Amino acid sequence: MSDQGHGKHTATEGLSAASLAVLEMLPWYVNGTLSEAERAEVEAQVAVCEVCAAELRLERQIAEVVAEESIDEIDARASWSAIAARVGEDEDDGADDVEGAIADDRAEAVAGPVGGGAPIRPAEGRGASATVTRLRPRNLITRAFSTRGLGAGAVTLLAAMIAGVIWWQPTGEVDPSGTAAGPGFVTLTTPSTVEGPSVRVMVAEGVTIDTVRARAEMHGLVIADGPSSSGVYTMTGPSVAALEGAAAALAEDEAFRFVTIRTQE
Amino acid sequence: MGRALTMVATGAGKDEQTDAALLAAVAEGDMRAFHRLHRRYHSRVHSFALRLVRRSDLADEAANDTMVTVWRQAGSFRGDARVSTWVFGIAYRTTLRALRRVARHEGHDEVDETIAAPHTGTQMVEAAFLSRDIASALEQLPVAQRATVVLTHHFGYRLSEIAAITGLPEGTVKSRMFHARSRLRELLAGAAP
Repeated sequence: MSDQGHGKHTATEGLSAASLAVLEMLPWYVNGTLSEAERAEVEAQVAVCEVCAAELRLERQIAEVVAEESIDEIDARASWSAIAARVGEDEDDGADDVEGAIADDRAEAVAGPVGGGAPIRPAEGRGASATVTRLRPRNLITRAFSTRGLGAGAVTLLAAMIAGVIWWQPTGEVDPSGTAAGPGFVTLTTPSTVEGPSVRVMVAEGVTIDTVRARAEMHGLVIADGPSSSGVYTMTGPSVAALEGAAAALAEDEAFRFVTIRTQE
Repeated sequence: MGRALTMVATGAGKDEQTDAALLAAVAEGDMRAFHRLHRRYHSRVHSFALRLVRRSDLADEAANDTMVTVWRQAGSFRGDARVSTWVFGIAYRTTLRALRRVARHEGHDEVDETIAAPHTGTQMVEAAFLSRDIASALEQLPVAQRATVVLTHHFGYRLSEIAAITGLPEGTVKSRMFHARSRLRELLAGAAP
C-alpha cells in the first residue's frame, strides 16, 4: 500500500499555501459537495502537486471503506414502541395542559378547527362520551388555535359528520370470528362497549379479521370488539402509551381507513 | 370525562410530506407525523451513533433519546438548516453525552470527544487487505474525528452542514478531517508489512 501514498510523507510541511488549502478540501471534493469553482481549484492543484494527488487517493480509499461499511440495521418498530411510550409519559405529565386543550377542542368542534391543516376529527356528540383533541407537546398545546382557517374547519367538521352518518349502519356485536353479525350500531364515534382505553379502527375494503388480528398483535394489542358490519374493530392494549404508539403506527397502515384512540371514558 | 380521542385519516391522500412539514406537524403534537419522521430518521441516526460508539446498547439509547428530543424540541426548529442537519446535531450531542456517561461510569474523571470509543483501546491495526486496514485504523480515531469522517463519507454532508451538526466553525471541522487523515496515514504506515 505504500505506493498508494500511505507512507509517512510528512511532506505537507513544505507545501505551498495553495496545496494546504486543497488538502483541507479533499474530503468534500471526494463526497461531491464542493462548488464548481472549488472543484476546479482542487483539480488544478492535484495536477501539479504529487502529495495532493497521494492524499486524494487516500481520501478516496477512506471514503470507499466508510461508505460501504456494513452495520446491521435495527428494527425500527421495536424502537417506535419504546419512543411512543416515553412520549406518552410526557403527555401524562402534562395532564393540565391536555385538559386545557380539550376545552379548546370543544370550542373548535363547534366553530370548526383553525389552522386549516388539522386532521379530520370526529364530531363530538351522538352519545359519545369521549372528547376530541390531538396529542401535543405540553408547551405547544394552544398554539394551533388561532383565528385562521375557520372555513376549512367547518368543512372538516361537516365531512366528519357526514362520514359518521354514512357509517351509521346496523352492525354486529362482538364477533371474534368475523363471520356473524348481530344487532347494534357501531361507528367510529359511537360509545364503545369496551371498558377502558382503546383504539378503534375502520378497515379498508377486503381486509380480513386475520389481517387485523396480525396487525394488532404486531403492536401489542388485542381485538376486544368487532368487526361491525362497517368494518370497525375496537382494540385494547397494555397501556395508554402503547395504544398511542400503536394508533400512530396503524394510521400509517394501508389496511386501515381511519384510526381513533380513546384514552379514557 | 375523556381525555383524548385522536382521529387520523389514512389511505388516500398520503402525499409525501417534506421533512420540514413533518417537523412542523410534530411541533403541533401530530403523532402520525412523528411516526413518519421516526421512520425516516431513526435508522440513520442509529447507524450514525453505532459508528461512533460501536456498542449497540449505547447506539440504541442514543437513537431513541435523539428521537424523543426531536419530539420535545420540534417547536424550536428555526428552519435555517435542513431538518436532517438539525436531527443529526441532536444525535451527535446525544451520542457524545452517552459516551461521557459511560466513561465516567468506568472511572474516568472527565471525558471529552477527543477520546476513542470505549472498546478500541487494545485493538491494533493488522496488516491485511487495504480496506480492512482502513476500517481498523478508523476505529483508532478519536470519536470527534471519526464523526467527521462518517458524516462526510457515509452520510455525504457538506462542510457547512457538519459544522452545524457539531457546533464547530468550518475551519475546525476542516482541521479535524485533516488530522484524521494524517492519523489514518500514520496508522496505515504502521500496519504496513
